[in-house]
Parts: sequence; C-alpha cells; structure tokens
Amino acid sequence: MNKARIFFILFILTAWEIMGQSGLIHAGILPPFSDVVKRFGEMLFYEKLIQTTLYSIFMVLLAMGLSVIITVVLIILGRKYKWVGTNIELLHSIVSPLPGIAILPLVILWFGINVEAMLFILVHATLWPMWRQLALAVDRLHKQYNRLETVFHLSKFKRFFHIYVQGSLLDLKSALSVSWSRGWRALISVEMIFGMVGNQTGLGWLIYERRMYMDTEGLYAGLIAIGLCGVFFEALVFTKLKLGRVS
Amino acid sequence: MKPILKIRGLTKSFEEIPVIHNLSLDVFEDEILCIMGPSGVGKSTLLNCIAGITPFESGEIYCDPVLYENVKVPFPFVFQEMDTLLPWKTVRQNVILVTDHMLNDEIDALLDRVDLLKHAHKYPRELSGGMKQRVGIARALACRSKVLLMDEPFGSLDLEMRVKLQDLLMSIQKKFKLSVVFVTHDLNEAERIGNRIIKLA
Amino acid sequence: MKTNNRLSFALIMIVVVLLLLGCSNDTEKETLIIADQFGLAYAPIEIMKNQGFLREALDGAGLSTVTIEWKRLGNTTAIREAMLSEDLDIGFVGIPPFLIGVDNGMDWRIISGISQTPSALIASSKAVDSLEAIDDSTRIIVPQPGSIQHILLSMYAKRMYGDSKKYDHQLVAMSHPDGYTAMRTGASNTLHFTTPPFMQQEMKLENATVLLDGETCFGGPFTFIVGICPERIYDNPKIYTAFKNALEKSIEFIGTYPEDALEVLSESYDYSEADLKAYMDHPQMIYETDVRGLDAFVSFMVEEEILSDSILNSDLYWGSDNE
Repeated sequence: MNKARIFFILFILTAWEIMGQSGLIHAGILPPFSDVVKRFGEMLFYEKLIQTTLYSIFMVLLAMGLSVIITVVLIILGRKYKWVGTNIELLHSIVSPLPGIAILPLVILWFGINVEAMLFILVHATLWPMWRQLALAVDRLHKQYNRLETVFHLSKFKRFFHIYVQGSLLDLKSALSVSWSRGWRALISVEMIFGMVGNQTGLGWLIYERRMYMDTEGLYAGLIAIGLCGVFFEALVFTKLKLGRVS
Repeated sequence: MKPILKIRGLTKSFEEIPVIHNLSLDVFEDEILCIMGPSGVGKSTLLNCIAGITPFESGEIYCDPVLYENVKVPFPFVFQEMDTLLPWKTVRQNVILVTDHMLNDEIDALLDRVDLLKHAHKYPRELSGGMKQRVGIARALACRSKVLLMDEPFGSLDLEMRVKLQDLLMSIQKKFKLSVVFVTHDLNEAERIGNRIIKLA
Repeated sequence: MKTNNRLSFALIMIVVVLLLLGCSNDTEKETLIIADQFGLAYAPIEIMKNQGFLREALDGAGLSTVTIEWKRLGNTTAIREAMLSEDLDIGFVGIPPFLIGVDNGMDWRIISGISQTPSALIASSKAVDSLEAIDDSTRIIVPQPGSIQHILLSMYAKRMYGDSKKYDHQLVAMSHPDGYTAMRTGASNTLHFTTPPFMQQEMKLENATVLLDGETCFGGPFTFIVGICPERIYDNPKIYTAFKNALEKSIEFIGTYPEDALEVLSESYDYSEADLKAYMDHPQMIYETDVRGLDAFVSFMVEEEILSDSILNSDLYWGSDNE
C-alpha cells in the first residue's frame, strides 16, 4: 500500500513540475513545484511562516479547550434538568449545520472585529461535534451502568470520574479529532477575512494576502502548510493519542 | 432463627399490569434462599425492589438494623450480564471501585478467595465468562454486607463452570454466614445450593 | 487482482493528466465576457449594458454573431483570476491591483479610464477624531490588501510618518457591504475606507466621523477605475474598437442625459433616484476616459517595493492614447 501511495505522490509532483515549467499554464495559476518549494523555504526561514502557523494552531487548540469545558457543563446541566437538555438538543439541530463563515456577519455585529469574535466562531465550529459525541457517550454509559451505580451506592465523584470521564475517553479522542478538523477549516476561512485580531496573523490571512499580491508561489506554499498541519493533527496527533482503552 | 429481611405485601406494577402482587416473604440469616418461577413472573423485579433499583407501589421491606452497621451497601448485587464490569478497569480496580478505604491486603484476600489473585491486573476482555462472574462476586463481597443478591448469575456459563461457581458460592456463604437471595430458573441448581426454595407464580 | 490494480492506477493517471491539461483552454471568439463590480464607479458599464451601446457597436462592425456575456464579480482578485484562466475578456479594476497584475506577468493593459470616485476613511465613534488617535487594537477595513484603499492609506502613512506599512498589520479584508455592517456596531476600534454609496450611508450613522479622504491621501485627483483587457482582445481590432466607442458613448450619455441615466441606474442598483442623484452629484464623482495619476501610483508602489523595478519599462496602455 505505502509503495503505491509514494509512487502516486511522486507522479503528481513530477507532472506538476513539468506542467509548470512547460509554460502551457500561466505561472499565476500553476507555478512549477520547484518554485513553490523555493518560496516555501523563503517563507519558512526569512518570513514568519512558523510563527504564523503556530498562532493558527494555538487558536484552534484554545477554542477546543473552551469547547471541552462548555461540553462538560452542557452535559451536566442537560442531564440534571430535562428542559435544559431538550433545549440544547434543539439548539444543536438548528445551529450545528451552520458553517462558521455564515454566521460571521452576525458575530461581527455582536462582538465587533476582535479575538472574542474569532474565538466565538471557532468555539461554534468545535463545540457541536464534541458535544454530540460526548452526550451520546454519556447516554450510553448511563444506560449501561445506571444499575451498577444505584446498587452499589456510588458517590457522585466516583460516578463522574470513574464511569463517565474514564468511560468516555475513547469518544473524547475521536471527538477531538473531528473538532480539530472543523475548527481548522473554520479558522482558515475566518482568518482570511479577519486579518490580525490577536498579536499575530494566521495561515488563513497569509494565503489570502499572497493571493491579493499575486504571489502565487507563496499561495501554494501556504496551502501546503495548511494541508500539512491538517494531516499532522488529524492523522497523527489525535489518532495515535494514548487515550482511553479498547472496550 | 431471626429473619434478616422481612417483605410484607409488596406490590409492583409496570404500566398498570401487576408483576408482583402482595408478596410476603422472609429471608433468614445464614441461608441460601432460591427464588424460582417461570419467565416474567417477577423474580428479577423482586431482587431489584430489594436492592433499591426499582421503586414499588405498596408494601414494606423491614431490614434488621445489623444490615446497616458500618455497611454502605446493604444489598450488593451480582448481575446476570457480565457487562457491568467496567472494561477500562482491571479486576482489582473494578473491585476497589465499590469500596471505600479497603486495604490492599484485604482486597488481595478477597481476590484470592475467588481465585482471581493471579489475574488481578487483567482487563475484563481478557477474562472468560466464569472469571468475569467471579469478579462480580468479589465486588459484591467487598461491600461486606450480610446479604447478597444474585440474579441468575451462572445462567450463561457452561455446566462445568456453573458447578465450580456454585461450589465457590456455597463455601463463601458458609464462611461468612451470608444470607443469599438467589434467583434461578434451573431446578437442579436450586436443589443443589439452596437451603430453601420459593416458587413465585 | 494485480491487473485490476494496475488498470485502475493507469486510469487515475490519465484522469490527472487530462485535468491538468484542461487548465488551459482556448475557444473561438464567439462570446465576449465582460465583468464589473458593484458600485457607482462602474455606472458607465451599467449604462452600456442597459442602452445596448456595445451590442450596437458590435453589430455595426459586422460582429452580430458575437454574443456578450455580462458578469459581476466580487472583487478585483476574482477579475484577475478570471482573466488569467481566459474566462474573462474585459474587466474594470482599480489602478494598484492592475499594476500588481502587470508586475506578475499578466498581459493586460489599460483600454481607458472609467471614473474618478470619492473615497473616505470613516470612524464609527466620536472617540476617534483623527488617525493619530487610533491605537494598535484599531482595525481598518479595506476590500483587500493591495486594493486602492490600502494603497491610498499607505501613501498617507508614508507622507505623515515616513512608514508606508504603518497600518498594514491592522487591516481587515471585507467587501463594502460587510464593512458597512461592521461599522453599524459603532465599536470604537473599527475604521472603514470606503466609497459611495457606502461612504454616504456610513456618514449618516450616529457618531460617524470622516478621518481622511482619498484625494488627501493621494495629494490630488486620480482615476479610480480603469478598463483593462488582455492582448488577445487588443489583437482583435474590431472588438476592441467597438468596445472603446461604446464606452465613450456611455460616459457621454451620463453627462448629456442625467435624468435618463438616473432612471436606468436606480433600477440597476436598487437605490431611489433621489439618493442616487445625491451620490452622483458629488463633485469628485467624475466619469471620464482620461487616466489620471497612474505615474504617481507606479512610482510609489515601486519605491515601497510592492512592485518590482521592471514595471517602469512596461507599456501600460494599448495603443498610445491618454497621458
């Protein structure tokens, strides 16, 4: 399998290089791969590619952290008060399908153009898939272990920590992976508009700017950076994470 | 002999259909009481009512105060299904879960009694059916109650394993002078282990 | 099994190659594709469309088989990219984005000027009464980096502070309508560099202050929008001339028949005639074919290294028309 994959990638890159060098396609649309690599190197060592990338990653991770906290609160409240639980379900079904970029005008009206607005959109993107998966997991755990909890008079803390938290770790792992991808995509599209809202600009703004200045090599380099991050986190970090145990 | 548990006039219905109707019975110290009857007659429901899992409409359950002395869980339960063991915890951790402040030595002794000391570090998925039920028993014993409720605990095991566990149960009951309420639909089993057999109809 | 794998592999390769080849397309010139953007600066194009001047001109040149396709695109970059992929023949853009395109190898050049337009940098709160009063947390909304609004701001910054990039890290890119929405929140940390009609709409907002106007930044009047096309259009003299004539006719029409123009435009833009009249009566709203200020833009952008030196040797007009 791996051999075929590598060969395929090499083939694509070679085709790209040949197409780019041939001049059949304008360099403003498809520059040769070697030029893109060169530009990537420039941006990496002389311009702020690393800082920009780290900043983008940081924003998504921050939003994910907030989402975990909010998820726990929502689940606890939702189980304690039935009407709260029903309304959260309703909210989820209405709001979850909306891409972050669609609610951007509303968010700007409420928050203005600042970090809070950006985080709000990112939390929206990362919260709902996480809440859904963990709420279902908690539901499942409750059904399975409710009798156990009752019969053995387990304390609130024991129930919370030993059954619900430890029991949902596997679900948390997959929820984190999904949240990350949603958040990363939302971030890039929002950054393209927001420019600099914190102390730094992110990868989204970077590719947007490159495109505006017709720095097509830079645009492709930025896209590669975005793709590499996506792969790194989705396929490696959140999949190989040592969390939870196979049940 | 003194009854450790007195049930009077217990009635429980599910959606207006009475499952248990005006049931009265006594459970005595130091005995294995087998409860038998056809499917759906309410054997499991009876255990659930005693354990406090299921609320009932009318009737009373009198417990001897000794049941509550220094005991947090007066009615530990051994379930029929084996999936009430937490899969992300080892045998030892599953037993510790239901206790507070049990010393390591005591836990070791308990696990040894059910012949699981060598497997204390294993996870449920590494255990056979019989071993899993033994964990269930150890867990129930860890509550140090005078009563033990068991709902067809050996029903899904093969004959050989069933006999082994019946012997184990009997030896434990004798040692600790427990009152075991044992639900089964297997007459052979009831006759083998039970001091008394009650048939619900 | 092995043959199946190889077969599908080969199939995928073929598809990939075809896709890459598909990137370049050439079609017989049967359709003329023209794109503008939203705003009063493009009014002559609306008139041209509505009054059928281009159709007339093409027919007159014996080109009645050529169909005209009118498009409206969201921003200048979209126009640039459409032209690159040959999905667009004639477009209308601001001078700075045009120059960036030339500098990066696009073969487009100016056909004619279209309009001068007023522009202003507006603050949404009385707390900010001058550019000096803003701080690092202030956001400046422009349509995109490298837009004429961005360049005008940079020119001002260079003149006042010696640093053209002073405000570069405070930019936010939004279309004019979205920028207007943002301004309505009245947040004290948002500025918007915009043009009619949004300019006038924002000035009506409570607490709005005008900090700067375009002409102050530039140091005089300048052409806001120019009409551009690639060489393949210029090499088709019948089409090129037909367009030029139609454009001149449209601009003339606005000057000679203002009430009729207002009627046509108020329908196209969905504004009331009264509002539209106010916008178009603005002294800086001038429709003309002259191109003003091109050299100043070029020298500034070369000096600030937004453009490379080589542009100084490039021809920016088709033929040798305006000065």
